[in-house]
Amino acid sequence: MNDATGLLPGTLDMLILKAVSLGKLHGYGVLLRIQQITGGALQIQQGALYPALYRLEQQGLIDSEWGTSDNNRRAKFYRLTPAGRSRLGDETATWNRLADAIAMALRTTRKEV
Amino acid sequence: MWRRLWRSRRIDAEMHDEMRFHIEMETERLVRERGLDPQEARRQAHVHFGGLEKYKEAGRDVRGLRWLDAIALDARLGVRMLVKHRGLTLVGGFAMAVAIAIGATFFEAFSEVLEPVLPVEDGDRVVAVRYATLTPGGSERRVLHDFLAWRQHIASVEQLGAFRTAKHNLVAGVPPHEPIDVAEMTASGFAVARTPPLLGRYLVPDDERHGAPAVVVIGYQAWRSRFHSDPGVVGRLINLGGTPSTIVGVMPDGFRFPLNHQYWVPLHLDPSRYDRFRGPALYVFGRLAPGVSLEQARAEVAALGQRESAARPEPQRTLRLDVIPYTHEHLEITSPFRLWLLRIAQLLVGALVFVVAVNLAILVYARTVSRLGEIAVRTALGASRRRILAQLFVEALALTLAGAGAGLLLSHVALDRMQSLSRANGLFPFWIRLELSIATVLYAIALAAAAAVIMAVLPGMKATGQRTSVTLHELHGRGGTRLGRVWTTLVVVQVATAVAVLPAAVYVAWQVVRMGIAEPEPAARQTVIGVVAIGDEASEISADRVRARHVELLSRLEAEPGVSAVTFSSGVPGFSPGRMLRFEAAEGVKYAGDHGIDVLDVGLNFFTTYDAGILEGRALALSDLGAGTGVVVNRAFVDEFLIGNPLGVRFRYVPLYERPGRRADTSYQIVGVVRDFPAFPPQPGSDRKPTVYHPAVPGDVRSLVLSVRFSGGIPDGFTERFGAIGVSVDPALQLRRVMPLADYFEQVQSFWRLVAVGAALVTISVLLLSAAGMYAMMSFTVAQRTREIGIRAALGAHPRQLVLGIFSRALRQLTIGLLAGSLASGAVMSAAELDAGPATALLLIVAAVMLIVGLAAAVGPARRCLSIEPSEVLRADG
Repeated sequence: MNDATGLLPGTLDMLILKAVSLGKLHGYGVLLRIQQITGGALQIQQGALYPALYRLEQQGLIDSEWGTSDNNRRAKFYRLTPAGRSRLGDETATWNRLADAIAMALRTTRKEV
Repeated sequence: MWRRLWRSRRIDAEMHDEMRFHIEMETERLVRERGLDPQEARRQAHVHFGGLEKYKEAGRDVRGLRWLDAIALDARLGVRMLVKHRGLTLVGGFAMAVAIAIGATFFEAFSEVLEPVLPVEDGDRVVAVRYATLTPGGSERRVLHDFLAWRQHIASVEQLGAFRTAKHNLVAGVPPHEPIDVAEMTASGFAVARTPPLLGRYLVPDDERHGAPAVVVIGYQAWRSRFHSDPGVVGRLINLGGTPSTIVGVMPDGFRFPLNHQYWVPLHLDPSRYDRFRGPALYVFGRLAPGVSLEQARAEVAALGQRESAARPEPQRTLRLDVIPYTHEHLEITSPFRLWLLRIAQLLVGALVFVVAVNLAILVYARTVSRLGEIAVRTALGASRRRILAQLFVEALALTLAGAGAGLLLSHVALDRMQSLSRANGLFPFWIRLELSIATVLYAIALAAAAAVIMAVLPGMKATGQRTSVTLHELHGRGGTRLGRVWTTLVVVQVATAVAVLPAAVYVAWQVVRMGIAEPEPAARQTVIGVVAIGDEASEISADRVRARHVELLSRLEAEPGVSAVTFSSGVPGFSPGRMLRFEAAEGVKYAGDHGIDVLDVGLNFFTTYDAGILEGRALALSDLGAGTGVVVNRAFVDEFLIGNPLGVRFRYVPLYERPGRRADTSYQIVGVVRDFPAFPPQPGSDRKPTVYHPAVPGDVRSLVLSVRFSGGIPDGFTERFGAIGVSVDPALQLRRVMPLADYFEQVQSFWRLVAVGAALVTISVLLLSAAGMYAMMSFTVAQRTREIGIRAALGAHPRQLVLGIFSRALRQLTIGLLAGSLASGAVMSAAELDAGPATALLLIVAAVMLIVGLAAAVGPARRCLSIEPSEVLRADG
């Protein structure tokens, strides 16, 4: 994680939604899943995950319930709600359009101008 | 609020658990993957996580719980402010407590009157049927014939019944043998109330039949107190108004239907004895038939009333047949107009709190202005206007809630006293329970909150309305908030209002307090009074028999051991009915026109019995009786109406106020003047009431008050004996309210004492509020001039000059206020018809107090100003 870069503003929510869209996860599990799916390329202040989780829960995009973790400990699990799934779709589309636009902009050479 | 607080705690705990779980999992991963020892792994896990508390706080923010913390903080600050500004807390809390106590007490009393519930099964469906007259609230109750017809024709009201209250002597069980209130009620009354008896049975229709054996049902309280809860009481014979009656049942505890009764006998309805609209006054009631609404019943009876109106005799043709809730009938809320009047009164009393709140807002404003700097700093640091107003609101709420708590306590005590006083005064409707209800507590809290809004928002809006930069600039002591004319006007208005209202308030309060603490004269302690009435069952007793019975009763009482004299009068001494008179000649009379006086018919030995010395002329004599026209007046009469020699002065009663057939055109002549007695005011300020005494002999007065005077103290058990003597002379003679005269006065006093406490509290709170308001305003005005004074001192002004400057300005404002207030006060006092002498003295006292408070308020700031180093002021100004 040492060579990881900081997150762009607003992207943490999207990453959390993506992580929980792949299966029910507790807070620490969300962190591990983000690291896994980003190849450890992004640096996240671990504690910052929680206010984001609560915010998404307040917005009704994720849902939570208390349950038991793999090592038999009491933990709070999050999963995506239908509203969250729809928001994730929108965010993904927006991100892709933005990324494509920026990529296109960055690919532009003098001759093309 | 509490639920939110509890939820907040739960969320906190869950966040804590969740974050701890995270750190433990990370610790384990570090141990497992990096081979760190657990302690180091935990340390690093914490570092990776970041500040635990910071993220918890962020989590709380996200969940919208932050405001709860803010409120808790504001509340703590509010309580701290209460302690810090003790003067304001005491004055404000006291005034608020008094205002809320009055508001809550009236709210409770009005609610009981406006929304009463009859405590029987489906009590809201019990209704009264009545004839309303054209006069609002008036009714025709002599409805014996009509009641029998209604029973036949009205379908929407079932189990139609009627009752009347009669007084009967009861000779049974434990003494006293005194007249009691008996409900003469149709048997259907018990069916309407739907309460089964505790023992035996209640009345049945057969008991109403003529010739049926006389029966009586008794209440639980009567059973306990008069019959020692005897389980074998059913079947016992008692003497009720001379009629032997058998007790057939005992009703359970709490049953007091129809009004507040403990004895029930059948109502014998015999229409053949009376013409229509003659005979006893009856209250008619029943239950709405199943599925019928009050409006439907109203429509049915109105239609019935209209149909048969033509059959009624002429004077009764305009009567309107109506159905109203049962509880309204007995509280005389018989028209919607009265209902609305009560509601408006309820609102007005509640508004009293807002008057206090506005006064407090002015006080708080002075404090808020002194905190403008703090407010400006908070605004600069990003606090919104709403946030600052919320803080001021919570601070004010701490004060008003403290006041509300004390106010509710006061109200509880007052309601308790009112309840016991009303219970002692006869047939008070049993369903009225004057105790703090939850609705009243909520009402008090709502008042406190509303008052806090006024106290916080008025000054807060003004304080936060200024530009922050300006206020921050002022924080350095340059300038100061200039309120100029507004503030000067407030000072003047505050002084003027206090001076205008306070003398009258103090005067009235003092009169009431004096009444509450007055000591009756010795004669009152040695005299037992008793009201002699003829029982309802003997209404056809001849005047000769009444005279003979009175004479016998008087001689029997005179023969009692220790009795020095027995006399009689038409009313309790000091409590006689009023009339109007007009003097025949203008000489010797202070003012022409009609004069209000009290009139008492008395026995010839009345004055000697009460040790009331004749000051001029002579006492009443035998020659004044019959065709004689001599009367005796009291000293108050002479002082108020006459100049010079009162003897021989003639007057007549004004016919308009005269009882029909008596003394309409007789000219009366004053033959003597007696001292004012008993020196006990029946109402505040009426201890010297002009009174005329007419001579009378037993039998002249059908219902009279006997006074039995003892040479020493009143022997134990005499009051019971008094009643027994009356019954033995004639069972139809009822002796009501037999008690030492001092106790009678005490009963009257206990009511006034309650009013006195209320009046004193209100006056003190107004005085305190005014004085505190004055002090705050004056000291604030002077404090505003710190800079000016500093500069003048720097320019070499003499300290004496500066002090004079400060005081002359304060004096100018005070003088304008005092003058305006005095003028208004004169108008208030003449409108209230207060004595000019004491009123002027009070006005001077209040004006002096205001002047002293105002000047004292200027002293502190003036001294502070003088101690300021001019160089400092100038430096700050640069």
